[in-house]
Amino acid sequence: MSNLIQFVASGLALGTIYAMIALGFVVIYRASQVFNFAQGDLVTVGAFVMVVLGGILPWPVAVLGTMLATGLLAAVVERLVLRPLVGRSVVITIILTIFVGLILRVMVMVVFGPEQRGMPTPWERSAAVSVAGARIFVSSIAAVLAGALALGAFTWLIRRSRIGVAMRATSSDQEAALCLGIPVGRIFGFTWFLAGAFAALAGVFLGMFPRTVDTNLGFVALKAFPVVIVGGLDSAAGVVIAGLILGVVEVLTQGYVNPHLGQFGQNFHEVLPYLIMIAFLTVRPYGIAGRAEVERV
Amino acid sequence: MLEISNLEVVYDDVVVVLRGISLQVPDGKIVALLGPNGAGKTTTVRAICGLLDLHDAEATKGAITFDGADLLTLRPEEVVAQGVVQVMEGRRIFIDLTVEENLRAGAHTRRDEARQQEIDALMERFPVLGERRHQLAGYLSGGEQQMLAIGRALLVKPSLLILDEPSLGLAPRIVGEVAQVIREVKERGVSVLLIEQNAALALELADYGYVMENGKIVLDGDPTELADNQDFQEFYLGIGAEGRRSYADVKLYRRKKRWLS
Repeated sequence: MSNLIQFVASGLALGTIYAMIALGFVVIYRASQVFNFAQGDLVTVGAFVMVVLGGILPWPVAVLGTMLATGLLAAVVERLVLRPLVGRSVVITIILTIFVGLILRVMVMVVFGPEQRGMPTPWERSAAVSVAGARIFVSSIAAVLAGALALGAFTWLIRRSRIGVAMRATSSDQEAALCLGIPVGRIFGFTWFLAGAFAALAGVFLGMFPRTVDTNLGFVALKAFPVVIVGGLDSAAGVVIAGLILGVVEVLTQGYVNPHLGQFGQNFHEVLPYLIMIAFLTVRPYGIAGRAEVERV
Repeated sequence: MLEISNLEVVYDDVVVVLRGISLQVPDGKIVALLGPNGAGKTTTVRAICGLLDLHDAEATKGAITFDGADLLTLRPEEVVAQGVVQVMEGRRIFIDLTVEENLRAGAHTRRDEARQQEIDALMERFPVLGERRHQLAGYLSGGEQQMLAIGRALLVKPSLLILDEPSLGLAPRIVGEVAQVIREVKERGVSVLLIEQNAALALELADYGYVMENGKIVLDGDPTELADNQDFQEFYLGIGAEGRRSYADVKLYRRKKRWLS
């Protein structure tokens, strides 16, 4: 029983991180139909920026500063690389974002060096509270709380704020939005800012789980693809739910299924999200909450 | 005043759609632009609103000025900032936003305090929109959507409103309501460029009219002049030399097809 609680808790924390990365994909895709493969490297950038800022600023300020800095970097990438290509084929933008990701990774290596770093935390690294006999890491609780907070802010922004309405108008009908004087280009930039900020937040907490930060951190974003597909490429609520489910399933598999598979089971939990994704692609390719739409590519 | 002079627009570098058209919309007037499908009416609007780029088109000759500003060099949002706002053909409301959010999107460029009052005033003018303010706009009927689209554009506070086929696909009674709204828009001192295929409606509302065919202005004049023109009567109002013709009298196959035998 205590094992189960422990697994579910760290699964939820992992799921929150997946959800934040996936949310970045969705925000960008909904506004501009661009599939951003550089999302994972924004996570890496965020983690490294936090390592530096965390050393000189109080923790909460450092987190906000990291989100701001990474968001601005993402917005600059959009302005320089993707804005000139608005309206061009999907394939071109996909290849470009892959390339942008590569450049970001190399930049991180050049700026911060190739060594592994420790992620600063305001609490003891392995601090935990016990709930019904289970040890739950403070980092896990913090990840879930921060994720919930960010998600709440995001929901308010999208539903109520002036720029949120403009964002949804743009994703609904770009030309009509232009006709009302909504600066669609700037809206695209803002979606990249949001995606960058979410990626940074994910990076901050992801860095606490392996407890080191290196340039391969961004590969976790590959796990966000199953989340995006299962949740639905155009549904923010869908990817949050899918992120939490896949996070919990992954940790539970690691705890309960892997030991029974012998040699084969060593990393079975790493593969499972992709198996689920393949199942979804065959049965329900638009995901839990996505819109069923046929698109020729 | 909007002034288009000798405008030529080419799509994809090869298809010439506008072959040098000139027209004017004086302040506070309603000007109608009539013509059959494919004449280039919508392209004219796109050129005014800075949307040519989006459709791989380019203005190769001519100029469009509005109160002295050269519209051809401006981006869409800059054209709107000049006070030129378009209600697109087919209404194009944001179907997955609520009625109120559609109106708020219309007021996006406004930062003044009067914005919310104007949204409320619009909902009073169109009670249906008020009743359904929290419903998704996609569930409105065609006529209601058209009112929403016009209301949304009015919230930008335009000095020139361009309406692209506002009567398209609407029942005659609803078309009457749309006409009433257009009159009210004029009373507010907003000039209107009315793109229409419904010639009777356009003549009823407009202070001046242009007829466009194959990318050229073939006829222009005030409504009474147009209504007196024989070609206009026959092709746009359906009145021949012997008065209004019935479809029953039109013989379609008077000429024998000889190549079949």
